Amino acid sequence: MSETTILEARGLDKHFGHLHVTRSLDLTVQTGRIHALIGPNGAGKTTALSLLSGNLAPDAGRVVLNGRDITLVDLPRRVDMGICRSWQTSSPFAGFNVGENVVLSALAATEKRVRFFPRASADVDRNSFARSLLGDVGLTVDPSLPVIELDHGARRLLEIAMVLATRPSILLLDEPMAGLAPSDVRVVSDLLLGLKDDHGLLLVEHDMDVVFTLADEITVLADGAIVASGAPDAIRANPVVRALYLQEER
Amino acid sequence: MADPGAGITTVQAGEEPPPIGGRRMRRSFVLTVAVLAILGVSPLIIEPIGFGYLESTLTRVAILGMAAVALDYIVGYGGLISLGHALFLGAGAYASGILLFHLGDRAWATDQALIAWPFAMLVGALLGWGFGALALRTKSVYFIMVTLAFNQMMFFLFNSLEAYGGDDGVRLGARNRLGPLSLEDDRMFFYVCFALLVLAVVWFNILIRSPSGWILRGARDNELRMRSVGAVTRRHQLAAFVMSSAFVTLAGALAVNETQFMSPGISHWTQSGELLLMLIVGGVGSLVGGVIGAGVLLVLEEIAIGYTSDWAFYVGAALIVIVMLARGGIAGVILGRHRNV
Repeated sequence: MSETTILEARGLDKHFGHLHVTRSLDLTVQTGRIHALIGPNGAGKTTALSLLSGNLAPDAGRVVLNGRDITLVDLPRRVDMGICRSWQTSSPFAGFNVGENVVLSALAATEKRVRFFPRASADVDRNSFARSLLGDVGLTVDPSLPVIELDHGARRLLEIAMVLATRPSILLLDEPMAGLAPSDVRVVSDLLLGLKDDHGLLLVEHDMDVVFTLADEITVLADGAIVASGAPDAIRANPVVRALYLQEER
Repeated sequence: MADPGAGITTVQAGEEPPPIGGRRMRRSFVLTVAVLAILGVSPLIIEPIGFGYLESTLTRVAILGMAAVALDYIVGYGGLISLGHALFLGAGAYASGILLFHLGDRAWATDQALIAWPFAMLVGALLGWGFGALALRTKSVYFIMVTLAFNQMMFFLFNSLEAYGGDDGVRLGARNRLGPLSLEDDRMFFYVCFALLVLAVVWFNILIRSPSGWILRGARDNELRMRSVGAVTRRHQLAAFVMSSAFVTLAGALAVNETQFMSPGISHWTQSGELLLMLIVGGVGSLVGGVIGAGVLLVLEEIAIGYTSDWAFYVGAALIVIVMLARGGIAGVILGRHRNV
């Protein structure tokens, strides 16, 4: 997986009724670089992520993967192509325990046909893959624990493990650090830095410390349009961004 | 495979993860065996204790219990509430009944169960494929309404079959033949139905643990989430719908054998409602709950009829009490009120 997979948004536009949530958005996700998407609440960050992941269709514009137009490719098939997103609100499958949630994600990404044999839990390789992912994201709870017993931080970590279970080459993460304890933030940061070399990473994030530590490129959204885009230092110095967003946060 | 990492201390690498739900799973197994065992010995013990008249009711418990178990696979595990499954009871009744009805005057007619019953299941599977593919384009309450519409469609189709008595139906006066077994013997017929019920319970227990069954259950919990990790959920839901349809159709074929009477009544939409009621009473999402619900409902009804002409009032009151006291149904109470697996 050393190819430079590049996911591109070209002139994406999206309306919800009269609300213009995405305005001619251009974005690039490439391996070896962590791209962070920031902006005030309601700026359209999650919508942008959804347009790239395929659970929303744009009104105009194109989504391009390695030069191929995938605008009309639906959510599951984009996962086949290596694009997988996480969700801002942790929503593990309530009917499955912690370990099974990761196994189910791995299974969903590979089981394209209807199969009734053998049992879903009988694949030893898949099970140990799932367990190794739980270790990778630093989730130390008993895998047989029901997910309802997980606290918020543990759910966030499980969320990332479930994305990794699909063996994506491009990860679109919606606020992966929100609500994590500082020690967990370090674990996830290290994990993302480790993935960076052979994965494309797009990150919607509110934690500015995390953004400026991790990101190689930052795009600032406001009212659905790009206000600024560039290296962290340039963004930090950008007066428009400071006025629009950073000072508002502080 | 990489080392599981230092994080997990409670489980060794390569070891199979603990079974789903742990203790609840084992309890569910014990409950399933117990319920089936009770139903299996019931015909032998009802005579001495003065309930001999319930013998044909027990056969109906086995038949409709099978239909309820099959319905539970999509309702309890798929979150797809069908109010149209009686159409498959009708399809099974007419598919095997018509083959039997023409015995002697048509070359294709047959009274062989080994041909008629699988044929009925095939018809049910094909109908389930068509209706399921259309109904699955909708969700939640619309899914209920669309399945109900298909139910009505088939009900009126059966009603219009003048050659088979129209809305009056037609007497068959015989049962299918199954090798050396005499299905005309009510006791033998019960045990054939019971054996098929056991088979259905085992089969659907295999399905809920299968890869496709996991995706079905994941989509019930959160369909968008399931799609976002790559599952083509509709495909697995359709497979579940087809499986469910095929077994309800088999139940329909058995039902027409039980009464030896083929009429559209069996496919009335209220019968779809009754199957759902059986699930609610017995416990949605536990498979064996369908058998419990069928047993409680049909036996209660039969006994109440013997005492009063106002039986429907008392059965209704009893059902309200059961549903109020036993959330998650009877199986839910026995297994504990945890989230269903």
